Amino acid sequence: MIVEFVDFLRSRMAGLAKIGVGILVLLVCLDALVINKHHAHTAIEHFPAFWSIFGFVVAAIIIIVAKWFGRQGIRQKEDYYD
Amino acid sequence: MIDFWIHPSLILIIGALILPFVKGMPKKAFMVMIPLLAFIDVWQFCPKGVFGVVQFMDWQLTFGRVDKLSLIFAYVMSLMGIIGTIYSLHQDDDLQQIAAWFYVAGSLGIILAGDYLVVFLFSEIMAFSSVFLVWFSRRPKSIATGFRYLLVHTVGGLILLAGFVLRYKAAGDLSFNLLDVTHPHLYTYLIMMGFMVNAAVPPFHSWLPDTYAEASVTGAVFMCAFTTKTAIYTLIRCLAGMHVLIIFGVIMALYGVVYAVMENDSRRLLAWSIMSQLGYMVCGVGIGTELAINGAVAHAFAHILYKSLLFMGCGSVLYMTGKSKFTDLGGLYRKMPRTLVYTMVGALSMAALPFFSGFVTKSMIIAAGFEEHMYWVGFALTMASAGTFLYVCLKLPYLMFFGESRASEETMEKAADPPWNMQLAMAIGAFFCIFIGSYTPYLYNMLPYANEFNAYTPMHISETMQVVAFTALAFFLLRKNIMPTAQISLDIDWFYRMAGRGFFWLAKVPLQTIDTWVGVIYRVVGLVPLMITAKFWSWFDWNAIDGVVDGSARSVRGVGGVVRKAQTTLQYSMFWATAIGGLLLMLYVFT
Repeated sequence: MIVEFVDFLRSRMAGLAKIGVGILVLLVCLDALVINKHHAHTAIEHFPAFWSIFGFVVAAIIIIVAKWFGRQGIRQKEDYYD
Repeated sequence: MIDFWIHPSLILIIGALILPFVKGMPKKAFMVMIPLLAFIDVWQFCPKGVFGVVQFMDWQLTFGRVDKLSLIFAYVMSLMGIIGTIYSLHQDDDLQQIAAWFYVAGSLGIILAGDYLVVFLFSEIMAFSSVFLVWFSRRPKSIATGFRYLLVHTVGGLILLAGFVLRYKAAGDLSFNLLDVTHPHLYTYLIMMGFMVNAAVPPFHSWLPDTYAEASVTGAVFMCAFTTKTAIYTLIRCLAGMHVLIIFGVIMALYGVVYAVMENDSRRLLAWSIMSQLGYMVCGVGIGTELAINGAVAHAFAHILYKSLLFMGCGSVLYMTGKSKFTDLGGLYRKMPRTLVYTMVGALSMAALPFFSGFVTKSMIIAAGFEEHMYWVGFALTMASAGTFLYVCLKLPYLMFFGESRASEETMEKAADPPWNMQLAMAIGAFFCIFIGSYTPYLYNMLPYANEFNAYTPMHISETMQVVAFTALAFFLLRKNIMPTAQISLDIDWFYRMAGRGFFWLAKVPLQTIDTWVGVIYRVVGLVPLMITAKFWSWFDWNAIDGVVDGSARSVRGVGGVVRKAQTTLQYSMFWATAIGGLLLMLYVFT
């Protein structure tokens, strides 16, 4: 059952991508128009879709920093210590 | 109030000692019964109060201090004891099970302890029993890894010992309570460092990924739950509000994320993620407000369950296929669909999605940071949350279960869902992950302070979903940058691994050379002239004054022999001086 479900999703990747984009747009719209931010801790959170931008930027930073950091000699061959 | 009180550790220790004598089918029942009894003991027969006070020489040892804080930790630890034991039911390895139960007993002992001596005693039991969970994995590297683990924890134990002995000198008190964190002394820092080693706070963290990735499949499930979360308990107990811990916490939360994103080994990735999640808890301890402490306790509770679930999932893959590296896996969903589902529940719990356990616990710590106006803490921890979602909900399932398969045909052939007991343990873990997240009073009513926190506000849900969804977008666009490579990441353990190697080199190359040269010099300066003298006297004796000074030649030979013996003794003492000197140097460096 689980396998069939995953296969079903995998055969419709283009549709899934559209749904994904739809979710992103929906989340941004909800944040900008609907959500009550009265109890927000900081002023910057009142900026429309602040957490969307935050999420994208920090995830990109983490990926790039990890890649850069690994190239500074941190990533080594598996038999390095042998 | 009942009259008698049984220490739950005692049940586990006695059970462990009886285990080898139970055979056949009753054995499986016995294995489930013992941790179950310990859990029932904690759950029903531990009223609040102080129990098990024993007079030992000049000190009063307290084995049972039960309050809300110790009770919730003892509850989740003994619950984890059941899950872990069910997960290991299939294996017929008494020694490993005994080690695991002693380990759980050590953890419960620390949690219920009322003074530092008992804490120290049980933390040594923990260290020395858990190392067997590494050694019993019987992998090529496990012996060395186990010794490194033991060395680090012995050093941590010694620092803790130094801390509480100094405190005993200064305050005449061994009781294990909140220290004066606003006026820290040297002993406060030493005690903090001792516990920081166990909580894997940088720079004392390298033992964690090193060990947990090498431990046996079932051993790792136990290990990932107990040592570090017991350490979080000890930090909460004596150092709540120690502000320097906030900085450590934030650093380790992000440090763990970066290493987890780089990692190729699935269980090592999970080990890094433990460190990252511990960062939240350490941060909560450092903030020290009621909300923050509640958050740290709740997150430890949830973390034990979802992290063990993840270790069980990746452990199942390792158990069935013999592989744990992403470069050897992929596309397993067809063969291990149930494992996929359980692992995903653990992953979603850790990434703190609504209706999963992390959502109602992690946010308490972040909220505590914002409420104390430490905005950078709140934002940094939210950044770590984005990273958590990135590596555990996207990278891990993508590389292990979905995506293109990098597995060999042989691996794919072997892959299948694991034995029933492993699946049952995962199902129990998954149930608790969803239950905690969906029915908040269950956990919130157990917390040490009254709790008004509501995680399910529209703003919080919206915030979480936005961060998660846009992290997924970033992953989708940049995923080529974090594809796995068959490499390892160097870390701070490089220094002590290389220091050990340097010591061997020092002993081998320069000292050996000096030793050889000294030997040569003695032979030339000492023995050769002596032999020449002896030969001369022998000749003289033989040819000139034979009979006049009878026996002098013999006596000179005797002196030569004595000197030769002395020279050998000298070489021996040089060897011992080197060994003892080296030992002293190691003690100096490592203590």
